[in-house]
Parts: sequence; structure tokens; C-alpha cells
Amino acid sequence: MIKNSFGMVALTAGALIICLQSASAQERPRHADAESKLVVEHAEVILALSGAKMLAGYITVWNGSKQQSDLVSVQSDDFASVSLHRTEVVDGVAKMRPIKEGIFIPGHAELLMKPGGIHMMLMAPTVDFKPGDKVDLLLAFADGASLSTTAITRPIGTKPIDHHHGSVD
Amino acid sequence: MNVTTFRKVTWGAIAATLALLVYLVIAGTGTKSVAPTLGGTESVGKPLGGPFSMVSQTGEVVTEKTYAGKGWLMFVGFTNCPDICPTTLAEMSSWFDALGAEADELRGFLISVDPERDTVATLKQYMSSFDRRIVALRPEPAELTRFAKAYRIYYAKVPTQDGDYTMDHTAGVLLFDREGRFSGTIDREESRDMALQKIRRLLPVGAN
Repeated sequence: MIKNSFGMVALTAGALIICLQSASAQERPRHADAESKLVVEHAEVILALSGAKMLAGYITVWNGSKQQSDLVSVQSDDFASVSLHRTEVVDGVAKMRPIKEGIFIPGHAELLMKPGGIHMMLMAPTVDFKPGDKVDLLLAFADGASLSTTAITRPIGTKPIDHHHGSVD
Repeated sequence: MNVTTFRKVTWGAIAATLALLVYLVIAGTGTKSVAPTLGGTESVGKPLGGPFSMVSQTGEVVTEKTYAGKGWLMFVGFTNCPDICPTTLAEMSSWFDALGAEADELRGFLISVDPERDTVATLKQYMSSFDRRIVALRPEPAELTRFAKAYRIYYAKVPTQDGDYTMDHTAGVLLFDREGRFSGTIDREESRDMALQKIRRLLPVGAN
């Protein structure tokens, strides 16, 4: 019995060291590691008229770590540029403005993009997308970390899914 | 007090309470059905609405008389609006869908606040994604100015970094009853149930 407990302690200590080693081995990008739990849970790009110069995209990012993360930009090879925008309804008037200061995602919190709120503006697609196509996105954070994800394209007029952390869809 | 008197008094009290309740409910709905005018604009005197003349996505001239007798759901937007406009039109389509054939008594409108870029052909292609009972209308710029004043909607051109522009615009859906009177708005934050309740009020009595 005593022997067994000792074995367990040794095993745990061993595992801990392996964890520490793997953590120091890949200092960058830390956030992409599963253990820091910064994950894109949901990603959609809504198609517009063929020939449209801009598409809107919506992602849900869950920050499972304790530290705040600051999403500063999104890139995609399939578009000339991707920018972060916010639609605000002020006194009944919808105003869409670029977000220049980045988006803070507190620890153990989610960034939920949705129509009439924060969204991505994907400009000048280089591909003629069909519904169900994939769009590769690369998210960059203020601390130098990055996270890649794949969004699915949806037909024009689709209401994006209101995906909260933990939802199954 | 004998049993008979007690019964009479009790039933009397119940009847009085019911009458009061019925009165309150009727009075309540009465207040609600008075068209809610926009805050502080009542003093202007002129009711929201009035004549207009625009071209639909099929190239036909549409005026306030074209769909007189139907309830209207009016939204202002533009096709280069990737976020709020297609979502609102998708929602509006889902309301028409939920009401089924009853919604034949209604017409939805997308009025373009960007006639510069929204040609009739563009609107036609755009509207094929939404319910057939939603009509897109393109006003000439001068007509848009007049319409915005009469219907108290707001729009403004806002330049973007890439030298292009986007539009600020009224976000809610304006509702008009079958007599053409403004009957309220559906705001973005409102639930689907609340929206459907408001829309059902535009339908003929007995249809719902």
C-alpha cells in the first residue's frame, strides 16, 4: 500500500516534469496549445452576391486560460484582407465601424461574434466560393501567439449559428 | 347570512371581478393599439408615412398604392451591407415562413438607401435569397431624401479606409397596418415571439 502511494507520487512528478519540458520546448505559439485552451469553437463565413467585394464571418473563441487574450487580427489567403468590425445600434441606427484597438477576451470567457455585433469583414475574395467550402483563417494575438482555424461558407441570407462555449453544432 | 344569500354575494363578487378584468384587458389593448408615434415627433403633426414611388427588383414602379390593403414590414438597408441587412431579411423571411399563407396579407420591403450601387439587377439577384413576399425597392436619390423625411428613417454615407463607403441606416423594421397607418417597429433585440405577435396584429381579425 505504502509502496503503491509512493509509486503514484513518482509517476505524477514524472508527468509534471514532462509537461514542464514540453511547455518550455514550445514557448511560441503558446496559445495554440491545447493545454492553454484558447480555441476557436465555431467559424462561419456567410456568402453574398456573386461578385460581392465583402463577406461577413463569425467565429466563437473560447479562452479557457486564466490570462486575458487580445485578438488583434485575422488573416486569410483567400481574401485580400480581413478586418474586425463592430455593428452598433445607436438610437435605432445601425453603424458599422472597424475595430482598431483589438478585442480583449478575458480568461475563462468567450468572444462570440454575431450579426449586429462584432464580426469579421472579409474583403475581395480570391475564390468563387460555394456553400460548404472551407476558408482557412489565422488569428493573431497581441502576445505573438496565433491560432489557425477553418470556417465553413454558408449560403447568402443564412443567419449564423449563435454558438456559445460548449454548444454542440 | 343564509347559504342562498352567501352564494348570491359570492357570485356577485366574482361577476364584478370578471367585469373589471375584462374592462382592464380591453382598456389595455386599446391603449396599445394606438399607433406608437416616435418619441417627441408627434408635435410635427404629420403622421409617419405617405406617398412614395420607387422601382422594384422586377423593374416595376411601386407606390404606396401598389400594396394598399396589406400590412407592411419595412426595412431600409443596402446589398453591400454584409452583416445586419441579410440577417434581418433572413429573419423577416422566417416570419413569413412561420405565418404561412396568412402572410399573403403582408408585404415586406427592403428599401435601398444606396441607390448608387443597388441597381435593379443587383436587387433582383439579392432578393432571390429571401421570401418572395419581400419586395426590394430602389428610389431615385431625390425620392430617397423625400421618403426618409416622411418615414423618419435615417441613413448616411460613411467612407471606409479603402476608399469605399458603407451606410449607417435605421436598423429596426417599421410596421404599417392594412389601412397604411404606422403601427410600431420591431427592434433587433426583440424576441421572435414578440416580433410575430406584433406582425399578427397587422392581419385581419379571425386570420390568427
